[in-house]
Amino acid sequence: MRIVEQKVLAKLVQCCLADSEIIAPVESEGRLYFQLLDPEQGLVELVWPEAGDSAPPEDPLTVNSIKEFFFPRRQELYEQRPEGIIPRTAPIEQKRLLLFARPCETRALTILDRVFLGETQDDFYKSARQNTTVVGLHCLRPDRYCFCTSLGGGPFGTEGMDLSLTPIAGERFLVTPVSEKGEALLASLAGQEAGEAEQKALEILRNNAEAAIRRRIQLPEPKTMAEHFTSEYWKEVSRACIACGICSYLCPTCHCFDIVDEAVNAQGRRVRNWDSCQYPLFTLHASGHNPRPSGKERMRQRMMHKFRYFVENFGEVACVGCGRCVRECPVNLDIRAVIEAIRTS
Amino acid sequence: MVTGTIAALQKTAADLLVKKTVDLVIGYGQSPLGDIVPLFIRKAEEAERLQWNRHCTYNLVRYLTDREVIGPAGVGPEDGKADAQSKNAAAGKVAVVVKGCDLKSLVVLQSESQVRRDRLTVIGLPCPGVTDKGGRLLAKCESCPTELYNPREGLCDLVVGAPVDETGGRPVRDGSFQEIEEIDALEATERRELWDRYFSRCLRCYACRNVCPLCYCKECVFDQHDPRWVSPAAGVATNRAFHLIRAYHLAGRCVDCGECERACPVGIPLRRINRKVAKVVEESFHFQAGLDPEAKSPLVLFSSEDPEEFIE
Repeated sequence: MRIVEQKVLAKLVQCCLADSEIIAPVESEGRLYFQLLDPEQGLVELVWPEAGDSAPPEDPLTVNSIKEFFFPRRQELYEQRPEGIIPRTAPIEQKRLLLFARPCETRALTILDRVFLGETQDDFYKSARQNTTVVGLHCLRPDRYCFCTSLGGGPFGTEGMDLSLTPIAGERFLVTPVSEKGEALLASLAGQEAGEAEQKALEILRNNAEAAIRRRIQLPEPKTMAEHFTSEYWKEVSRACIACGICSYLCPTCHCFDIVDEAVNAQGRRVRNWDSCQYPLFTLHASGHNPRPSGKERMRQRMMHKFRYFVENFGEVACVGCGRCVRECPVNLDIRAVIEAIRTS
Repeated sequence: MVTGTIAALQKTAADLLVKKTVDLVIGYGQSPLGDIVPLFIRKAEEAERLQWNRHCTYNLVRYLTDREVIGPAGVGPEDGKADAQSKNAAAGKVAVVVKGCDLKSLVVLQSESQVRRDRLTVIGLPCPGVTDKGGRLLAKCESCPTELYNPREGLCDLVVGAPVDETGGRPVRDGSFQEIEEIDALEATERRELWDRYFSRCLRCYACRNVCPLCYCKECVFDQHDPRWVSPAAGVATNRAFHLIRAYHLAGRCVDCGECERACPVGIPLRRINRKVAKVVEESFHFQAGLDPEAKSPLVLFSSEDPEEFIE
């Protein structure tokens, strides 16, 4: 662990701009969004995390998760031209530096890895993962929607990161390498090696952050989920749902997609788009039959996929407790309340 | 928002259910975690779950055309006709809690024959303005015209709670379209850049459409897949198409309840789009949506006296 000043880190990022894309939180009308930094503008748009007395009472979190930089909203797979099919086999070669990703969403990358880097490897995702250095940011003040500690993560987690940053007062960071890539990056960052005092300070920050997440939930067993497949509860809980895609699109682990052909004149493109299980077209068959014809089946699908099917297939839950689906739900539907209701009913 | 109002509201709802005036009340309730959520009650003893406070942002009129909520018997134009003579005629009748702004969208549903008003009990609540999750007054409330503070009695069946003082709290709206004029004053390229910056963020989550009380089409053009009129892929061009089509479909209809803008997770100022169109409709046809259930939107009417040549 090393103590690194913000300006030292800024210099490194500035250097990276020459040969890398930088993905980082950018502010727009009071909210943060992960975005590619405009190389012309340099680091002007970059929002640095704050620590100490000047920091806001809750960590400002990004609206979108980092998911879209690995599994984009729209991915062209190949082109169909009169002369034949031209695959898009040139996935991301550009080196990328992802800054200030939170522990919940970097952990979500390890969950997406199971899907896209399992038996069948997805070239696009793989290259994006390989070429991206993930600089994570620990959370000092989780908000009331955060529940990562109930899902095996924590505000100081490091899964999926190459390097972790803990902001401390005086515009400095405690920097810890997590992977070899991170070691290499840290080697280029000048700073004092952290001692016992910093270790202690880090412990206190971690304990405070973990304590700030007051709401803990217990997950239902996949078996319990299975028993509730035909429960009347789904109808009740889905009634207020307006069936938009906010929860699935902002979720860092949701990864369903739809493949469509786009045609322009004599050219075609096969494209992979994000899809949401809440949409009426999601599992509509060509025959016109839809096994999930209404809101209750769609809501059930979302919960079952996260807390039962994914567990059965990959041995872990497909939720990291980032709270985005709760924070942004237009009708305050709360995934925590839903799974607690399932577990206790 | 005094406790007295909540108690009166709960009693009103319980009475409606006991007397079988309605068999569903749509109002605001509280989730186990303390958040305000839409609440659907069918039993009088559940009426005590009804709430009313400054977080009651939702426009519940949205649920009146949602068959999954209302059930097979409802308040639609065909509902209750077959059973008119039998005692089943009351089945499927609904009471809904509305604020002044929400009420305007119900007026449009009425004028478009989407609800049978005689199967509906409208409970109006005087409203001092509602806030976002962070406790900030919503922008639509800041510019809320005073006549909307209190739901128009003639359009409600019941009004619960003391009227909100017109002089209290909020700035008085001057009825202008200032924020629209500011955008209109920009160069075309600047306007395009401005909107494309917003549209590039659009996730196509359809929250704006799904939360809208006036987007009630059984099959939305964006959900048609054979052919697929607008690509579901999120991208500036397709997103622009999506928002423009939605704006046109709401021309002369949108009542500025602001739900689309509130629901949008990526902060697209959707009210500005709809208010631009409302401004054009107002200037061209001297029409404002949501005021009179008998009035038809100019975009669904024709007149043989129309001075435009195309009508001849």
